[in-house]
Amino acid sequence: MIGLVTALSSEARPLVDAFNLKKDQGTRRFDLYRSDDLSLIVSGIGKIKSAIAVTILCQKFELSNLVNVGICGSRNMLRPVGQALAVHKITDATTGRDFYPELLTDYGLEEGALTTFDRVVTEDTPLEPNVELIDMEASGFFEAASYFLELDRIHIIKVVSDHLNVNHVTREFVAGLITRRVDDLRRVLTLLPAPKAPLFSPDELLDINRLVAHFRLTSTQQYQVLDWIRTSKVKGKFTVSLLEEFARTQPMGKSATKAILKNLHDHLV
Amino acid sequence: MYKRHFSHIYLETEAARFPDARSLIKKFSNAVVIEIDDYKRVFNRTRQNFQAQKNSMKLILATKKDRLLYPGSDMSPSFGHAQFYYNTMVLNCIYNCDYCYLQGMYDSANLVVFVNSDDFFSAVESKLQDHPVYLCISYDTDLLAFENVHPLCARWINFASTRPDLTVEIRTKSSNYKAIGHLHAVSNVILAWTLSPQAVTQTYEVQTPPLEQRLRSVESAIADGWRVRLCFDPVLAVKNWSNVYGDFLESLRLRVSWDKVYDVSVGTFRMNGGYLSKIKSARMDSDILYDTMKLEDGTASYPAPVHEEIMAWMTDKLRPLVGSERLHI
Repeated sequence: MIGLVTALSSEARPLVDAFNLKKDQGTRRFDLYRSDDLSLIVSGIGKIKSAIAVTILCQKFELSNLVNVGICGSRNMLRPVGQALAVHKITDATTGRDFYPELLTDYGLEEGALTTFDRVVTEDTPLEPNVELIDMEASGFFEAASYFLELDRIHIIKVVSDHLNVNHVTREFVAGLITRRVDDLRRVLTLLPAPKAPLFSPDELLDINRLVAHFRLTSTQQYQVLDWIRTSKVKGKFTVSLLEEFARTQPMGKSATKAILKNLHDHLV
Repeated sequence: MYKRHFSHIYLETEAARFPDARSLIKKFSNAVVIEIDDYKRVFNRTRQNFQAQKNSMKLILATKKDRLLYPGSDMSPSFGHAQFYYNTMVLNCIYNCDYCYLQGMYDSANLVVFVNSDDFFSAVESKLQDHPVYLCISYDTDLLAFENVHPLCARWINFASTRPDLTVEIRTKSSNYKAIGHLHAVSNVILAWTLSPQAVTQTYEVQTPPLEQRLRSVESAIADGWRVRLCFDPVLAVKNWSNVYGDFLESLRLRVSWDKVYDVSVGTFRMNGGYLSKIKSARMDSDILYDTMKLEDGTASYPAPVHEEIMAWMTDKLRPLVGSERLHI
């Protein structure tokens, strides 16, 4: 499942409609929507809320990727309002820390560096010369997401909403901006890294667990056996029937278990 | 749909003033340049996916302020040189061999190029004031494979040509001899090619040139008068290894001008045990990483009987070709 995080309901609404997401009743403090393969959480404004939303989403679902979608301001007038961007650098304006999202895949989007502020930035706000794109969530989103996922599975897509004059940025305006970029986002989602293929099928895992339980192995023995099984699987030697054969053996005491384990090792590795 | 290699260049602020940085940025003029304070903040990030990054490697341009010269590692052969050093002007390699320790040593597959190259040369110059130096410049990378991008081999060859107390080894799996083919052979520079059976290359040495192309480079280098070292290292205990390596050595026996080969080295798979554990936890797509290993003094390697059998077998095959003196095991 892919996790989407937006700050605003007006950013979320076009995505909920476009991807046919249904409200999930599982959370009290955050609006959460989902389908079979997408989940979307509305974090509210600010990096702390974004980090909390990421944590909730990651604890609730097994996510293959996390995407922060939202609007940003641009100090650069050459970036037109409505332009969608992939972010390759985030600077937290308060801490000065930099984060570097991976851009391994070509999403067909322009790129930019983003600075996350704790307060709304306007034309009158004094800014460092290198500040270009501005938001209020990305650093919190990214730092939290990187606790749960590898960096190539964390993505930040922003749509330019203003050039630091925020008077016209109404809910309807924001929803309109995101709506016009839904096709871009749909394409990005198809290009994200696939979920990691598990080494063992669910049936194999059941058999492995059955075997481990059958022999009442110590933690160390369990670790050893699982390592052998993993090695055997990678080397293409592993079969469930082999485990079944061993599972039929009745262990009679510690020394018998040790002998069986040695035999199992010789068969597997 | 991966972005092309070096689509992004992370440029350390301090590195920007060096000519090498400017020329590399010019070479990849379409790359997105991202300013960074310190290369380690990009290169050493946790939770990078080394193998995913191999699909779209980025370039990091940085400066190296210390440790410009390392004493040779116990895991690497010194070829009888008492003063054995290596340096790391580039971290990481454009290839992606399954057995490569770099994927366990580094968190990132991105290439770091240290652009303060003069400092590296000065460090060697300084060491040469004390004693002769045997220097391996292509250990944590493959410089010849990268020569068209960044011509460090040519610079070291020119440097060595006027310093007889310096012996430089340039180890490679590339077939890029042509990149330095215009230079006159220098007697204190050894071009060392790692060779493996084509079946091994194809399966476990991802993105490296085929054996045939490497051999053509070897032949050209020998013909041009270079000292050429052939490295059968690592020999892998693949299924039917003696047949696989037997056919390979037989084809080389007929092909290579052994009397003109400077020397030969042989070794079996070995790696820092911590690196191997880290690699195994990240990838389950390579059977050779899951061979039975012994862990001794922190090094994972084949159990003694396997290692000894392979080494004895390789020695038997190679000794008649190069003699004992030129064979390093």
